[in-house]
Amino acid sequence: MQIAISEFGHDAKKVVLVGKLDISAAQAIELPLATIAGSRANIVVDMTAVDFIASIGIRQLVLAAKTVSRASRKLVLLDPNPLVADVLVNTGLGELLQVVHSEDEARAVFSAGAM
Amino acid sequence: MKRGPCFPQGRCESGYTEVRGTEIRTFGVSEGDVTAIDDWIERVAEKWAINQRAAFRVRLCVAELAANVLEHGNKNAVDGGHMAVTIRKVADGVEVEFLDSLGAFDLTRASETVAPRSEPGGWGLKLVRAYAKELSYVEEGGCNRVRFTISSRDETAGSA
Repeated sequence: MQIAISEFGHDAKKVVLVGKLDISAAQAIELPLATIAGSRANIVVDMTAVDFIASIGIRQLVLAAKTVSRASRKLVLLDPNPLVADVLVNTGLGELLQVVHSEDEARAVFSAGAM
Repeated sequence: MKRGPCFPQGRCESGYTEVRGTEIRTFGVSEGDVTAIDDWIERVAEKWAINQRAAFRVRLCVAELAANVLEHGNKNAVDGGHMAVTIRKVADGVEVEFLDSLGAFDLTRASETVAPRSEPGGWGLKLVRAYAKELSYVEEGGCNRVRFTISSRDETAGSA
C-alpha cells in the first residue's frame, strides 16, 4: 500500500491511501497515521484508490479516529468505493468513521466540528 | 511442505492442487502467508472471471479467518501450524473451505460482542457472518474446517 500525506487547509491533513488495506498495509500505515492523529489536526483519509479492506485495516483507521476525537477533531473517509463502504457499514462503525464524498464536504464537517 | 493428517493431500509437493473448477493451496501461518493467500485468491478469481463483488467477499472472509488464526491460533501446534484454502467454482458463485491446524475455534458459536462496538475485537467475525452464506464449522482431529459460499448474485449484505 502506498501512503501520501499533505496539508489540507490550515488545520487538517490529507492522507491518500492506494492499494489494499490488509494485514501488511495496516502495519505500514500505523505509525504515519498515529503521528498525524497525535498532531491535533483534522484528518481526511482519501479512500478512492483503496480497493480492498480487512478488519485489521479498519482498526488502524478507528485508532486514528479515536485519537483525533479526544482532541475534539475529526477524521473522515473520502469516497471509498461501494465494496469498501459496505464493509465499513457492516462493522457498524459508520458514526466513528464518517464518510464524505468530496473535499468540500470534508471541510464542512471540520468547520462544523470547530463551532 | 509437511502437513497434518487432516490436510488435503495434494499431488504437488508445494501444497498446491488444481482440479478443473477447484483449487486448493496450503500455507504456513505468518503475516506473509496471509498476504500470499489473498494474492492467490485474487489470481484465481481473475482466472475464473468471478465478479468483482463476489471476489472481494471471498478475499475478505478468508482474510478474516486467516488473520484470526494468525492472531489467536495455538502457536504450539505440532506441525507448526498450517492453513489450507479450497476454492470451488459453482453455478451461482464460489464455495470456500478454510482449514487450519491451530486449535479448536468454532466461529459459528463465538460471540461477536466481546468488546464495545468501537473497540477492536469481533469485527472480523462480524464481517464473515455478514457475507458468508451457509457458514458451517467442523472440528476434525484438532483442525478447524470452515465452509461457506459466496454468491455471485448476492446483493443484500449491508446497505450496498
